[in-house]
Amino acid sequence: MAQDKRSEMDSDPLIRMEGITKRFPGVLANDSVDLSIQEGEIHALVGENGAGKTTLMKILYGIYSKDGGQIFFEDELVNIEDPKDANNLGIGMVHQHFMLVPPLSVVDNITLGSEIAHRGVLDREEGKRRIQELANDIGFEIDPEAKIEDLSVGVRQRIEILKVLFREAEVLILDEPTAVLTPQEVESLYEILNNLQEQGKTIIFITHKLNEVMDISDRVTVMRDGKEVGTKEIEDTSKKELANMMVGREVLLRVEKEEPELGEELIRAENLTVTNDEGVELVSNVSFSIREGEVFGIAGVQGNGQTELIEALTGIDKFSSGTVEVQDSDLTNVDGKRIREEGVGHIPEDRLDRGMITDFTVTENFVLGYHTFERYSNRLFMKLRNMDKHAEEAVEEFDIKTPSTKTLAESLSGGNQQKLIVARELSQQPKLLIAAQPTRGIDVGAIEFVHKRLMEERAKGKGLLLVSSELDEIVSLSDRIAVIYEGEFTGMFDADEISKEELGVYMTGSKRQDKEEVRRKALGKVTLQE
Amino acid sequence: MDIFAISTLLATIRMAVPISLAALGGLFSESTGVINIALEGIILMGAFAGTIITNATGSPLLGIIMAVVAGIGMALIHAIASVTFKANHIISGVALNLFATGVTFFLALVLTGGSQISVESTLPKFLGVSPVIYVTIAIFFLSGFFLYRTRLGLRLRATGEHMAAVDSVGISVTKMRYLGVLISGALAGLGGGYLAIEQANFFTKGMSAGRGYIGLASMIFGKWTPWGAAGAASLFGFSQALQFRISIPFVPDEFLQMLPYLITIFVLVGAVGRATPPAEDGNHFLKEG
Amino acid sequence: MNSERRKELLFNVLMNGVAPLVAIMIAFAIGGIVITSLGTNPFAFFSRMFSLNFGTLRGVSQMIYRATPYFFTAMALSFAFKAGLFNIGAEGQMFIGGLALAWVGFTFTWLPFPILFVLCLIAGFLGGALWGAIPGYLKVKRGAHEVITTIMMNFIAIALVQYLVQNHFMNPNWGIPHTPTVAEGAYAPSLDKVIPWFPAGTRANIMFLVAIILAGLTLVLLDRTKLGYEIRATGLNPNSAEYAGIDISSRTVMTMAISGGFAGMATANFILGPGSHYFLKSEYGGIGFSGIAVGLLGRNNPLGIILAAVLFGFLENGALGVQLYFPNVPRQIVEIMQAIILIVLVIVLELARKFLKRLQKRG
Repeated sequence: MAQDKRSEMDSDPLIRMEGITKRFPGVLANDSVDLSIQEGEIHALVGENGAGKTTLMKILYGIYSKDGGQIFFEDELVNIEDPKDANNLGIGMVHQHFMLVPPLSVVDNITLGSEIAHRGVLDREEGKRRIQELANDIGFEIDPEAKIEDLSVGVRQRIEILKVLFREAEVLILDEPTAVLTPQEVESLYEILNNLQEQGKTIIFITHKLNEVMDISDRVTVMRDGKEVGTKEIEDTSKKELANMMVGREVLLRVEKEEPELGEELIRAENLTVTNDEGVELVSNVSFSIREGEVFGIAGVQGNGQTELIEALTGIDKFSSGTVEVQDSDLTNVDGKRIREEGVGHIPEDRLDRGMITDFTVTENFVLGYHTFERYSNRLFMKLRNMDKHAEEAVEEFDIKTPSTKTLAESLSGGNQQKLIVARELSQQPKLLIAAQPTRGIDVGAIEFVHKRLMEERAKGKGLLLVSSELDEIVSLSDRIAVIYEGEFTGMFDADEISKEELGVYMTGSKRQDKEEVRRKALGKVTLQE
Repeated sequence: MDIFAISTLLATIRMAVPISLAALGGLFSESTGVINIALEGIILMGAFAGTIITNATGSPLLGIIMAVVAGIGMALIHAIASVTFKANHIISGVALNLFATGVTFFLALVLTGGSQISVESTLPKFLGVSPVIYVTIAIFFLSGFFLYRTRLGLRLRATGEHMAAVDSVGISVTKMRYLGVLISGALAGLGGGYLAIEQANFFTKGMSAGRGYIGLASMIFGKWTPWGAAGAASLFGFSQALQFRISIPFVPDEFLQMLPYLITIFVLVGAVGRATPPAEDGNHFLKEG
Repeated sequence: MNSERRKELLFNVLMNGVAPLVAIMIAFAIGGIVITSLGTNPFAFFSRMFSLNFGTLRGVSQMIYRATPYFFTAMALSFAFKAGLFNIGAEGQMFIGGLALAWVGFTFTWLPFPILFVLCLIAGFLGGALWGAIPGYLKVKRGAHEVITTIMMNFIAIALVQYLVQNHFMNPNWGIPHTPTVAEGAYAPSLDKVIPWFPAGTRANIMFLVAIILAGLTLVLLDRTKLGYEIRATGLNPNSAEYAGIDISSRTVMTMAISGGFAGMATANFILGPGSHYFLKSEYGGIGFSGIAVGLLGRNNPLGIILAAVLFGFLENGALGVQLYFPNVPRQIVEIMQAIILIVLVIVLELARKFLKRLQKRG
């Protein structure tokens, strides 16, 4: 497919964005970005979280207004002020968070804004007919009368695509379309995209997964920190090169890690299961054990039960069955306070919506979760002086950049907010630290700092349960790695016996080890005999 | 007995008209996600404006029209505050209710020297009842059609459920919300005009007497659908009619008064079937970028 | 660093100072226009109002008396706000609390001052707290939104109180339905008994001092206690509060109870203070709803609320007195002005917020 398009690549681009700049309070989201899109290509836009990909596309689609730069469509300067302008140019967007109205039907959702109506009265029959036609064209079945709220995520995404096609879009922007899909759904999305390309559509595809880029796209543009780093033909590049462009450093930035010195068993979790309100198992029968001085990594594509596992481990949610013991204390389904008292710290994956209260001061955030501890409060009152003293020490020690400890946390940068959370959890000297996505969305300097501190804890004989969707992080920090897929541990490895590529195979569910063996290894010692 | 039953039925309908119009008004507003507790004040304004204009012009029809216009005027303030200026919908509503209470009392005193004003003429009856009753029934049929079968109705309902989705296809959320709120003002204003001109034949301070809130209660009990709201309003109208007609042994009047509010709470806690309000109820549309 | 602090200062000045003042000024301007249209000189009108309130200590005293109940209903709104809750039910909580405190006052008549007085206040608090806790509980257990339930609870309270007074507490020979009078042990001393230089013979009483003390205690509770920390955490970010092991449900119910408790004490000023000493429902109507305006005008800060309550007392007391001099201007002019303050305030606050955001974006 890519080859067929080669001849057109040299012609004038369909869309040219030049010097696009966009500022948000405190952030330069797009810094003079250039991008050109050829007609009929699949163009991947890649970069880490926060690199500015979505911002750039929302500007092209008219959701954001740009602070600088120009957009040319078919060589003409265009002014795209709202999505209607973009639609008129034949540009459509499939958002990461679907723009569908849950209680309304498929036909109402697809036609919304471009309804088929006679004198204002809807003609749903005609709408249904056209939707069926469109769906047939790109090869799938759909029930136009179903309500969105009853449909699966994969189907909803198809409806979003239909919605764009219904508006006769020639250019489709897809924002992280695979983030929410199962592997099978990803496959069929690829098929749909290929069909669309055959029909002559142009596709811009935002992702941070390089496999997808290699699988499906003709060209790729890499963004980093709001800037465009470069554009490559897919056959002229490799994943390694793209990865380097994305992060701007050698990816294999191996963390200094000494041989593990293992001590006593810290936590023993057996047969953990978490069920949601509808009775669906989100975590199934997970068992593991972590010892002093050991980093136990859980690798997995986001949304495979990691969040639920951790929230139940830390007292936010509850297990429906299973047991958790931390050094002989039964901590199954106890509250967060008790868990902290037993020396288990928790860096939550969502910094802003779990880990801190942005309208609290640095000091107040520093005691969040520990505010009931004797050093910070008595029965009635907070010990404000103690709180301040400890917070100031931590700001110093962890090099948190803030005007003062009385500053509201919202005015700190993302990296410093994360450092504040890490500082809070480490200052309490936990025996076991549960760290979920500890470096998500923060700058390289902060990432290295956090990694270094985590490794220091390991060296001090603390245990660490690390959950991350960043493979590099998992591989370079962990001693043992479990792969979680659809709520189950499907593979269990020593960190030095498995490559990233191999982990990727397990993470996508294409391969799995024997259940009993995984369980035995996860509960067993670090040195594994295969 | 038959005559008694028929007269109770008629009383029920009469009581239900302002309540059901308020309920339908609340429904239009909330279908775009704007909570409108100013219905109470809008009814009061409609009643006052209707009375004054009827007496000034001698035309109850003009009075009814002015009641609708006054309702739209109040709703416009609510829309400006809560849609354009993103004020909390509840606060804006509370402010308008305080405003209506003050302004109508104040103007009644200034214009007539008293707090009660008799209405000097009413609309000619049609088959023995006020024509506004037929208009109200027609409005319900039209509203059902409008909300579920027309382009604009679809857009209104979509706005109340997912503003960003509506905006993303190029529909103005602000316009939809203004439309929903203004329709709600017109309907509640009509209810107020009917209340003073056709039902009570006078205006008196505070005469809305909770009807706006009972309207909201009907909307909730009716699960945010026009026919549900009409049914609930009729039930509450019936309970009001009973209070005026007979005293039921062992059931104090006050307990009948509580009924709509108690039922609403039962509905909200899921004891009488679950009701889901529009997802965007009370939210503001914060356009990114 | 410095600019950060300057920004914070600017934010405070704009949101907590300029915005309320602008709202008040616009309300006076519109009030003035209305008064002019009635053929009265607004400057004469307002300056008469001013001298009636501030011209004599007696005037100040009367103003304080009018202001006091607003403090309590406003605190009901604002305290709940701290936990992210919207309590529109001060009106109903006030009625239930009022009847409860009156009942204690006319039932345990043998108890001396200050025991009975304090018991009455506690009863008022508990009555309001119960009425506030119910919506809190329904929210926590069944997900019923507190805005709607508190509104509905207002009307249930009104009907319930009317029923109880008429059928259980009232002597049928009395024309207007009210309760028996409370015993002398429940009387709130008038202010001149505590502050010697205050004039005797006005209805101002120590409930105003109780309000000031409660304002201080509330600040301490919110800023310095564990409970306050948890309430604020729950209000600002329930997800993070949950992460921190805070029992959000219990905090929600407790906040609604304390909030309702404030409203429950609002009528003590009327019932226990100098005057008729009985619960008369028609005398208090609307104070709960106006409290919403007072709370917002006071920017949900206890000290700000005292100022805002005094402004409302100023308007109300002034309106009552000014009638003698300008009989052609109905006193409801101040109700209109109070409503305008509220509408304009929310608009001005949004404008200020937009302005600050733009400022932040620029640098």
